Amino acid sequence: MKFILLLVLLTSCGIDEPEYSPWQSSPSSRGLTAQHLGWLRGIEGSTKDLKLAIVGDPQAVPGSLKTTITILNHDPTIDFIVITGDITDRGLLKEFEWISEIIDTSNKPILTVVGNHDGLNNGEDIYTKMFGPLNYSFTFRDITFVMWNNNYYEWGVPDFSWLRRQVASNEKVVVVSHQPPNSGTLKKGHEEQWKSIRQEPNMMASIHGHVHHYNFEVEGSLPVYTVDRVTNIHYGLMTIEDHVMRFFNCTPLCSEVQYGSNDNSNLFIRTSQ
Amino acid sequence: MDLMITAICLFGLVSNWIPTHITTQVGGYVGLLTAGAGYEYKNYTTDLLVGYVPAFIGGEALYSVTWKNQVDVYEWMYSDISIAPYFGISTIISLDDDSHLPAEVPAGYYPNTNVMWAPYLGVTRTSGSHSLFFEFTSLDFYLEAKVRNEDYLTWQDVTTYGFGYRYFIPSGELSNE
Repeated sequence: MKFILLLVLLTSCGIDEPEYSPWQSSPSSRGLTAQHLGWLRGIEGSTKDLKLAIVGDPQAVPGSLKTTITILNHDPTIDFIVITGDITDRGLLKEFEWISEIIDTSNKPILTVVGNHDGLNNGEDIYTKMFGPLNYSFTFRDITFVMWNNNYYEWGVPDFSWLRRQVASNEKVVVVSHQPPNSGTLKKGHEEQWKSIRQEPNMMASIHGHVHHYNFEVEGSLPVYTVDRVTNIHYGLMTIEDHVMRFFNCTPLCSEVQYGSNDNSNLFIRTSQ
Repeated sequence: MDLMITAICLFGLVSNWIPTHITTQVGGYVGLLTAGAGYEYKNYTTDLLVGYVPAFIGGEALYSVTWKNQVDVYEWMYSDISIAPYFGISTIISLDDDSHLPAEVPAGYYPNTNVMWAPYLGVTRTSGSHSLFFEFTSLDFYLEAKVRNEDYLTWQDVTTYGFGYRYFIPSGELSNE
């Protein structure tokens, strides 16, 4: 009885309820993906230009994520932000809460894709309650963003048939997944399956995180961009202006990505018109 | 886990299997409903607690076993009441399948997910056979995050609290059995 009275006293004094277990999975924020998609629909407008900020792997570094979001808040030209997974390191509720508090401070929509670390412990349960489905897609200014869970160790074989349907049924597709191609977790047959989907003509770009360092390749005509980890304020930008798509690395000053050796003709990738 | 059980068994043998106290605790990552027993030797106290969190609080029903080890750093006496600050560390083991790594994960790819280490600081008030305690608890991983994000994460972000009760079994009460 004394315990119940003490608990009531503490909580009535504005002190949060204690945590009863590290493995609790009842987040205070729920349905963030649906909320932010609704927000995104509201800012669609009539332009076809687009500026997307790409933030990777804030696991265990919420301070860096907070600083990055504050910087992005000062750039009114950015339409929305994607976080490319590994929101948490251990999939624990407290870690998810740190990130949702930061997301609440953003003045632009933030969409997330699930990372392998987010699947540890009860992470899947917390992620689906706090954000929403592990695979989802949305269309913004005629471009369909396919947020695909491709973390094999935690969820088994990724849903390739869902990905293929999304790519086949939309005209301009950007796939965002945590694991980049050839990250070493997918089996060879799965990598080949994914590569065949990336070669579909509807594919515009492929965006990833996971490896904690920036990488940019062009597969045929498909840009494959892997963002650096957010630590020390690193993020990426994808812009579409007058049907021209570009990628930038920001630290936080932004410079356009270079690839190949000195082949400047490859710096501009034209979107289908 | 095997090592922990062995250590407790050895400790129990040394102490003739009779715990010096029984314990219950709320919060501090140990559970909502917990029960256990332990030993006290000079300024060292250890407890083994089984914890339960119902689904309406935990998201799903959660079960754990916690081994607490703590040392009183000082003791003030006021009449028959003693006040003692202490520090300690708990080993918290989840008994739920979700906290175990999936079979596909290669060995060593992640740290253990079903075992957590929880350092804590607290104070206990003891009068006769009855002892109440209140403590602040963190996890090793949260303290590491605090160090890495010292300008952002507050102590409140990385700690929780718990409180509990110990009943010290009078030495003649069980030994006559």
